[in-house]
Amino acid sequence: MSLIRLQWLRRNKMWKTLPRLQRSKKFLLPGLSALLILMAQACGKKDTDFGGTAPVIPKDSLVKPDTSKTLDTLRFATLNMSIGFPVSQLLFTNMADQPTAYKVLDSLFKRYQRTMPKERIKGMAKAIADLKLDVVGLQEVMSFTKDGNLVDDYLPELLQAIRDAGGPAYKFYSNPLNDTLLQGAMDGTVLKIAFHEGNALLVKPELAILDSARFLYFTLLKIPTGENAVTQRCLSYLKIKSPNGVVWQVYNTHLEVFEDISSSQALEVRRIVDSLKLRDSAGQETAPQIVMGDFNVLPNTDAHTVMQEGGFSDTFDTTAADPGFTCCIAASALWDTQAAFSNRRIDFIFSRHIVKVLEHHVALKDSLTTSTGVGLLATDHRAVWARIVGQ
Amino acid sequence: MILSYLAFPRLALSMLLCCTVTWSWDLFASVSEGYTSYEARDFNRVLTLMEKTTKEKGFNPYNVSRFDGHPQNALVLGARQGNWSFGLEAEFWVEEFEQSEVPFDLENAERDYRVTCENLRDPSYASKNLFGCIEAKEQFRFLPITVQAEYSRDLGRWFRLGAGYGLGVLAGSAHIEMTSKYYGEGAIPDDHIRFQIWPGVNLVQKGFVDFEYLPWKWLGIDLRGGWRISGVEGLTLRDQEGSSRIFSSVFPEAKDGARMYFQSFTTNPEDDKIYVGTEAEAKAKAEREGSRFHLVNGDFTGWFAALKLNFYWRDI
Repeated sequence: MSLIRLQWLRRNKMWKTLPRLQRSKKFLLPGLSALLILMAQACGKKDTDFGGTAPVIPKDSLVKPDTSKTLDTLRFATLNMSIGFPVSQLLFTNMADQPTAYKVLDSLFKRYQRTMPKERIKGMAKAIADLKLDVVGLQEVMSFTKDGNLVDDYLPELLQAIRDAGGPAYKFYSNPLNDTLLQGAMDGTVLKIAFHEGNALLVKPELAILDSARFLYFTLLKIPTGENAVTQRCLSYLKIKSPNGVVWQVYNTHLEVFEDISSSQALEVRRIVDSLKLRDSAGQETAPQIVMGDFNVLPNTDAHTVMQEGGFSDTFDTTAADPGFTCCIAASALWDTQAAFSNRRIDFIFSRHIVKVLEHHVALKDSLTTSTGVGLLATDHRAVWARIVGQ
Repeated sequence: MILSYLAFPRLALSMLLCCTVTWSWDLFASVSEGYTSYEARDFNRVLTLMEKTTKEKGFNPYNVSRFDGHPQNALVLGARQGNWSFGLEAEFWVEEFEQSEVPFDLENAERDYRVTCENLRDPSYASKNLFGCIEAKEQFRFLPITVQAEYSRDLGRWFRLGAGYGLGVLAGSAHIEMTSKYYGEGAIPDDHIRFQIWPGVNLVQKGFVDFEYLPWKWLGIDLRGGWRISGVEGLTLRDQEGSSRIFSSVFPEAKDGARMYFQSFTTNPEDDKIYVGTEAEAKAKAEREGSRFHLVNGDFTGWFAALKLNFYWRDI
């Protein structure tokens, strides 16, 4: 500071103001910034985190048997029947162009026929009859129509084939989804293909069905092929009563392939199953709950973890007799008995409030031979079955 | 204005003396180049989760590297009086990332081997599936602007040591452009999408020390180091042009106004997913499903170091 200026400030008694100003400036900027940060944090925080993961429920799957009540053992299975062609290919197909659509649909139909659905269904029916299953959860239960003519209807064909194989006349609860109609035209020829696929539950005739419901998930995969186009997925529910008088709650589902969607759907499963829990007058759970299906995730990840954190046990964990791989034949090439198998376990039978799991196995490991002597794989998955004691 | 000064002669005179007679000012302009480091925890999680998401949706498996710093360039214009200097600093980093021939094949999602666009274009591959290749371009602009004040003392004739503080805004944005080519018989036409990822305007603060060597009156060579406190509170997708079938397949809820979130379904963070959607949609999902959402933010707090050249115009 120059001498002239200091002298002038002193003379005018203003020299005190300068240090005061300097002192206040020293605190002004940090003070202002601290205020701004607090304001920014106060304004910004409120919407940066919201919601909460569902509460973690300790596993209670094994209940202590009550000697005053009857014990019951049932055989449960889950089986993805495979629709036989890759739907995802249609996502990048220019279906607006009629000749292109015709060619694609024609090739899709030929590929579908190559999987010989009627022969496959016989193979699956034999396995169900041989294993003497009480309840079967089915996924990708297809109905296929070409030019207005029904080509295959998996469910009635399977039920008939089970009877033909010496099995029982299963009761069924069908949940068709994803009704699709596709059309193409070339050189004056029109090709129309209609199909739907979905879930179904088979129940042995001795078991009484007391209640049923179908819950379409809120979170569904959006398909960018059209406005509001989604892949429909649902949870199927049956309340059944065995001849011994034990009531079971059974659920069957097929979750989306993409893990962000399937995790959301698994959370919905938990909510639905919790809301339907049967309780006695003291509020205690009374019925064993079985949730089975194709979850499209690996064990201890994503939707599988969601179920475990909901108090469900994977029946594989305590009694598995084999590695339990259920998925999948490469490119669903069911006609190729040498096709690679990816050795993943994505089909599960979860249980809660049961007494014990006695057995857990996979079935349909080997290829079958058709009536014409051709080797064929029944489906691109393997069936999973478990023997469970409930009360 | 003049009349009001006449009413307060002491103040008017003091200002006159300050600014003209005795308080001579030095003007300076500085350019600097250095490096800045930060944790950017959320951004790095985005990269890791994106690796999982894209693999799950049919892209090649790849490994991400950590994003924890970038070259720092800055320009400062300011004035110096006595031991105090005041300046306006614009720090800028513009980077373009370009990835060409990124293949995807939904039918072979989750594979653990790599394919190339050349593989996909091969006629034998083409007979089986529909698939595509993406040309992606991203331009990233990082632009913190701060007003700075610094107090420094000369250490002899050649050196000067100072410490300062800056306050300002962290501006910037990213532009992403994707051109997708679809292959295979009957494939949909190629498409193109472009959008901006807008981080908003966010507060930035800097504390720094300077050690300056003054070989000439008009030039100083300065080593600057310090700490920056800044963050991006959220990323918003806007100014979308065009559309892309593959982009919509990976992020079906992405549209103008959508924000990027981490969605948690379980207590295991490994199960988290990236969700791109509007705040209203995210809140509805959280409520309906019982999942937790965390808005992706950018924590750019960290150290910086730079070499500065200060050019002075003395006694203005």
